[in-house]
Amino acid sequence: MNAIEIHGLTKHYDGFSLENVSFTLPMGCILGLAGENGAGKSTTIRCILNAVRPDAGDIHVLGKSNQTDFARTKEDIGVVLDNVGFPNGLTTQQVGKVMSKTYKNWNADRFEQYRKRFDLPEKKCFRDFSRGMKMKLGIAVAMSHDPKLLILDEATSGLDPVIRDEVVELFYEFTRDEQHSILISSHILSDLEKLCDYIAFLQKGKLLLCEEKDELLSRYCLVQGTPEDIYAIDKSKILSEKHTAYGASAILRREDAPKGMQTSPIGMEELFIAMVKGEH
Amino acid sequence: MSGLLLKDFYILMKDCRMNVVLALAFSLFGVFNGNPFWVVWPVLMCGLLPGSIMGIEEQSGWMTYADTMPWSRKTVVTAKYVFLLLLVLGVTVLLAVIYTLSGALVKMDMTVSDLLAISLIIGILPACIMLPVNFKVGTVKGRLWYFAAIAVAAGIGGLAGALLIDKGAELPQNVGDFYWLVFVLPVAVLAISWVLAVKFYEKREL
Repeated sequence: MNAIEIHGLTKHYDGFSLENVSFTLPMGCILGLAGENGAGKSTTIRCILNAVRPDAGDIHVLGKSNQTDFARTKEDIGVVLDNVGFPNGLTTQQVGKVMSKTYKNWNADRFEQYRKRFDLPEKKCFRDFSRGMKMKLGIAVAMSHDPKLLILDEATSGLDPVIRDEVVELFYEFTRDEQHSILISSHILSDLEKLCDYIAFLQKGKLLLCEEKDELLSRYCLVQGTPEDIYAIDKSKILSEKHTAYGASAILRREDAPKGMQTSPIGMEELFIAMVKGEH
Repeated sequence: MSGLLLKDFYILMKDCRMNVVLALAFSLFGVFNGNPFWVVWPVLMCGLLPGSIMGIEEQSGWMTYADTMPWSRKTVVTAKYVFLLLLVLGVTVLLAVIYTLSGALVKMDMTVSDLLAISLIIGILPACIMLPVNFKVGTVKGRLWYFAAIAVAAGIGGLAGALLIDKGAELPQNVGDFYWLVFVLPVAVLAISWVLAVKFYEKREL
């Protein structure tokens, strides 16, 4: 059983279409959904959660169609959206009580542990929380009912670097259990690079790639040299190039790198900027 | 569903506390005043609270967030109707107790069943129009639809009344024979309203 299977997902809006998106998140893995603003990441997540009806395609979550008895499947899914939408007048304590009557496997002790770990006040109203605190509460709730799958839509944005690092570590620990999986969409590619086993890259509603992260990154490299060295490389093999007063560099497939030229590994951010803009 | 009801209760106590206080205050006016008008206000206010709570939820993005939790949309809708009934029947029981003990019912020349009839009509019927609209288009657009529906209903009612008077129509002699309608109609309208709200919300994209 895979955690998520999407085949031929299509959704049309005025001015935007998500077209024929297919990917699979195997159980026990973390898949990062990357892409520019408006690429279709949140639309994909909303289709998975059945918040919107796709025009075509089918989606299976934890082995079951998301069109059939999905309320029961959601018991095993923890979701954090970019807007954590608890009513503004509720306190952390009240959120915990509501959630305890919502999820069958709600673990009040674990919720309390996360509350203390994230330093969330017990009796302060949600409307008085900072964006980071709201996100932390959303994460605490998502992880306190023994979910098998976490779906995170920009869950680490708004968090300071220290907490973000801690939360990324928490997500990583979550997938130490082979029955646990994560689908995470984020602009912060360094988080995806740290966390993910697979990367799916969306651009303008189309899936450009969905591959194992390590294999993807090892396939490309950065070559540096003089402008003449870079001009000598076949243009069709170059993903992106940059010329500065101090020299030139290019991103290309490792097998296409000219012999004798110095190569270095590239990060996800460089690779994706190169894919989108032809620059790095 | 108990999680949803608890959440509504918390919102009521936090963000709609003044409405609850005013409803209680108006009920007490009826004790001293003896005017049946004061029965209408608490019941009407309580009947409109579920719609107000939906507006508060919408502002925070709760509807989208709730959709990720293990409730079906039917359950989310049903919880609002259950909360409506709990509020309206709750305030009705409170009024019945206060007015019976204080003798106000006698002053108003009303019985407990008259009180229940008023509750069902005044408390539930406006919500039966408002809730399906809110579930279909949200509370902001819903407000416009709601006022339009009231204007149309008032227009049709006024026109029908004028036409009937013009033709010399008279009220049925034995109104008491139709008293049961006062209880059955609101329940029937509530059921239709719930079915529509479920249908609308299940189709809505959040």
